Amino acid sequence: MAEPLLSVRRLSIGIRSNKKTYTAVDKVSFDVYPGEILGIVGESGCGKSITAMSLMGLLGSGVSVTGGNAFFEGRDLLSIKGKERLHMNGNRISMIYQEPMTSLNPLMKIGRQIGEPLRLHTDLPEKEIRARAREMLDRVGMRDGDKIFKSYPHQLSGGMRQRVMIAMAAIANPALLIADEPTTALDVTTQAEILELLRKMNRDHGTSIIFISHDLGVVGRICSRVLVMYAGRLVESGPSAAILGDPEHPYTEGLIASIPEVEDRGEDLPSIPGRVPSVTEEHAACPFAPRCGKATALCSKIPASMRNVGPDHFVWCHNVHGGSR
Amino acid sequence: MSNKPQKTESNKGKAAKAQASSKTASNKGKSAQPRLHPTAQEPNFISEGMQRQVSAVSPEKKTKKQSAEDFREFIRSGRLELLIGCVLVAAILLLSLGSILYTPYDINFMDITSRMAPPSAHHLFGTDNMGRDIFSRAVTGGRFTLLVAVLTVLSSTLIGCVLGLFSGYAGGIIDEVIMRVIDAVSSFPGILIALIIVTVLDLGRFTIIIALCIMFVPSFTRIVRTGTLQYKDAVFVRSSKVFGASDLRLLLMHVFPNIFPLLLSSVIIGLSNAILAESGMSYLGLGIQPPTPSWGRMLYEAQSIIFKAPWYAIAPGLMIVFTIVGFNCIGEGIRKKYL
Amino acid sequence: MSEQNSSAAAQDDIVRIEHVSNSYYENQLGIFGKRKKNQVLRDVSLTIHRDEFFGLVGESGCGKSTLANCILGMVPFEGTIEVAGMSYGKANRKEFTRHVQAVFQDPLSALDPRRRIGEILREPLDIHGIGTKEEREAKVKEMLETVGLDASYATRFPRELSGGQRQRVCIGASLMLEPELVIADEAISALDVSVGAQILNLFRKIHDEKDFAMLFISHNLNVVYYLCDRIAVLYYGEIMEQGGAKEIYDNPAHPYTRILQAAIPDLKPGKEKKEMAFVEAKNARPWVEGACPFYRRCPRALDECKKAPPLTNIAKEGEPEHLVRCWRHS
Repeated sequence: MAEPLLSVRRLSIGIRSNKKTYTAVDKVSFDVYPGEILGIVGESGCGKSITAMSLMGLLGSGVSVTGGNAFFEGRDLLSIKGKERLHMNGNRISMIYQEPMTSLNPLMKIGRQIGEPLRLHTDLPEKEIRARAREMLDRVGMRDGDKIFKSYPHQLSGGMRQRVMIAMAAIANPALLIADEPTTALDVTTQAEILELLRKMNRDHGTSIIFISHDLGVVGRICSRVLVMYAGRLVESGPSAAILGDPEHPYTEGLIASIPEVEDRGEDLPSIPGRVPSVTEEHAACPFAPRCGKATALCSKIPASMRNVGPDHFVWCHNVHGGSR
Repeated sequence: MSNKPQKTESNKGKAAKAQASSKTASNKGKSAQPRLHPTAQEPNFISEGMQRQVSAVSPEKKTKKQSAEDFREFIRSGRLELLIGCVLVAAILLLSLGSILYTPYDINFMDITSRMAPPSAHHLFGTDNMGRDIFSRAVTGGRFTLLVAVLTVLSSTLIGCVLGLFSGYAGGIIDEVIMRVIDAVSSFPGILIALIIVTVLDLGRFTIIIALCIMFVPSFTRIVRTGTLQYKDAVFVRSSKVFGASDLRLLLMHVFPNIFPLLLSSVIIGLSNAILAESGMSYLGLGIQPPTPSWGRMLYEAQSIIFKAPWYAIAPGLMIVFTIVGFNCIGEGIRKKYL
Repeated sequence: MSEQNSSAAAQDDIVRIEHVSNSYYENQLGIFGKRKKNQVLRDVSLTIHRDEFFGLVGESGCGKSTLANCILGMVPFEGTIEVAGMSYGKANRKEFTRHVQAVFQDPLSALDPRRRIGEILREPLDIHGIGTKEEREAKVKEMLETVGLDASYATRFPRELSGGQRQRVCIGASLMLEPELVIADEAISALDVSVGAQILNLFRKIHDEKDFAMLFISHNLNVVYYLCDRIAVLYYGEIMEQGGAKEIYDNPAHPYTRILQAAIPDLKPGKEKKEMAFVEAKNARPWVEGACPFYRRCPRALDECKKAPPLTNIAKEGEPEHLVRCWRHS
């Protein structure tokens, strides 16, 4: 755990619409260390996915990186293009998506599809690639591997497709795997299986994982460290035990309280009022201030600086008086 | 990447640096800053993000890249096509409709003294082999051609909508029967149908409309049917069904309005196809009968004197080209903008 | 349903589902592939009382949405379903819909993109011809406020709203006819956790103000525990366990219920549950014809489990019924 595997520095992403550039991600910095699972949490529209997309160089039209760097194996992921980018994606960094149906080519058999990254990045003979793809199916815990190998994506269930996606993402043994809401579309039981699988890959192969989700419960189950994002900014970061057990930022508190539990029966859930501001809306110095029960006059004027409230636990909020600065 | 001014207050910077190192330090007790990454040592580490101005909108100075992006956006939005299309079609319509009120010469007035005169101040597009003013005839012909095209497309759209909605929504055997009949009609050469109808029926000017209508119904039926299939199982149609809505209401209030943009775009492109078809038919002598002018008819007449009076072919030819480009642009613009 | 309390509760039942089965034919691969019969629901019986929240839990493909569609009359089925004493038929479809309404999973696709919120909310009233134009408008306004939006939303289009706001509109539209039963099919699964919490609170708030029963369908047992009075756990088209929410939470009797419970991420990290091992054991056993549907995955299967177990009431005398389909409790 010496040097970070990925260090993102002051990453900003702008969305261009109606001849104006709106800031979707605002100078976000974080590190991913080798062998760790880092969670990024926030409601939809908080800039989690777009951050991940920028690392993969997959930003859509009208969306572009407006500043910052992301260093990974000596290169800046935000500026590499062409051959270098191709070498990186699927080989050193892989990504799995929320919707496993649309992320697989419906006309390609599973076996062939899993081997694709190797075909692109190595000179291995086809036979070897097929053998490796078959082996991957076992590694992601698929029974009937031989049968699955020859089937098409639509013949598989959602959970199986997500396993196939993971097998495909992991076949080239990437150093970093970005999982963008990989379990949101799945049942709780299938979700538990996929989480277990990701944890196993992390343990057995030392793959670092960035796990993006809107559910702190899920993130807490799998991640060692968590970043909480709101409206394109970091609001809290720290070890997941600290974030879940002792959240400091009102937003994190709200996210945790929103998860229904049996103890809440018969009472209203303490949910966060209002909604995430869209990128085109102007927001206060602290974007969370309008929804925050503890907001003071200060919150809408001066952005909060980073405060250290525990080992490796940081929070951006005026009302938290940790050992700041 | 834009070069935004990096406002760095030194005290904040120092604090941030302390933060940065404390973060790395607490992180498994190693204080090594990643040396690989020069910017990581920049003083304004994480907290800088919060010092930004309140406004999320960047200063309005456009960079080259941004204007290029905006231009691409303009092209993508389809506004350019809509603009071009509307101007062309409006001009043609104005000329054609204007011909009801005024034409420089009577369309059937033959000036024997100036037969096959080249374009001049007297005759804007010249005269034909009988000394008739081509400009007057072209704008009047436009009126008839457009009338035929509009009536054709309207009636075939109406029939196509009814058949398509019914066929797609009912499904099963009804769908099969309707679609096989449609297949049969569309596999029959259009010209042949027109020939049969023109010889069997004698309805004067409107025979051509019926013939063209039969040619156009299949394509509209297919478009509407595909759209109906797409929307009839949509959740919002289902939820309306749960409200107790009748089938007819579902079709007219929910399915049809959602197909409409697609249909509108095909209707407008259908207009240009109808103009082409009418011109083709008239060229073969099946369409509008002389002495009533139409663009296709004029092209047919121009053929025999193409070397002596090439301007005779150019005038209706250009009118046809402009109209079709105009309608296609509008159709494409609508498709880009709404679909 | 169990015999002893069916007569006493008959007046209070809003929905009676008796021996409902449903199957569909699936085209198999290949041009000449045969059509395969898929049984979705197998002899499901349950009742929902007036004014209660009834939770239906299970994984995708267990038939919970199909059951909802059966109640709504969207798919054919065998058996009887009565809502407010009425069976669905082509002739009384309109009348029937006044009693049952539904909220679907994805609020964006459930709203017609070309109509304004006000029109969407007014539509049920238009269809049933309730009230004058002014009365309808007033009702729409009232409903917008009930679901936590304000009157200004009436002129907006669905795409201008956030996911949570859209779901509020869907809920509002489903309540316009003041139905006795609202079916919420995975109504919060597509939403963020924080927004989902708002919607759950909204359900509770509206339920305090109006009288209606709800069939709440979800794959998340915790959400169902939180919201519902009674729960049925569905697996492979059969009810595995059914009873009071509190009772099932405290004493889950069926292994499948325990797995569902264990699969939900706990907020206290590091607190592993031993049932996680169950989750791993998916399809561990070969399929045996006529076995308990859960036999293949069951971590505690016995030899008897190769026969289908009956649904038995394990509640003590005088307590509300608690049905379990498992040999260990027979």
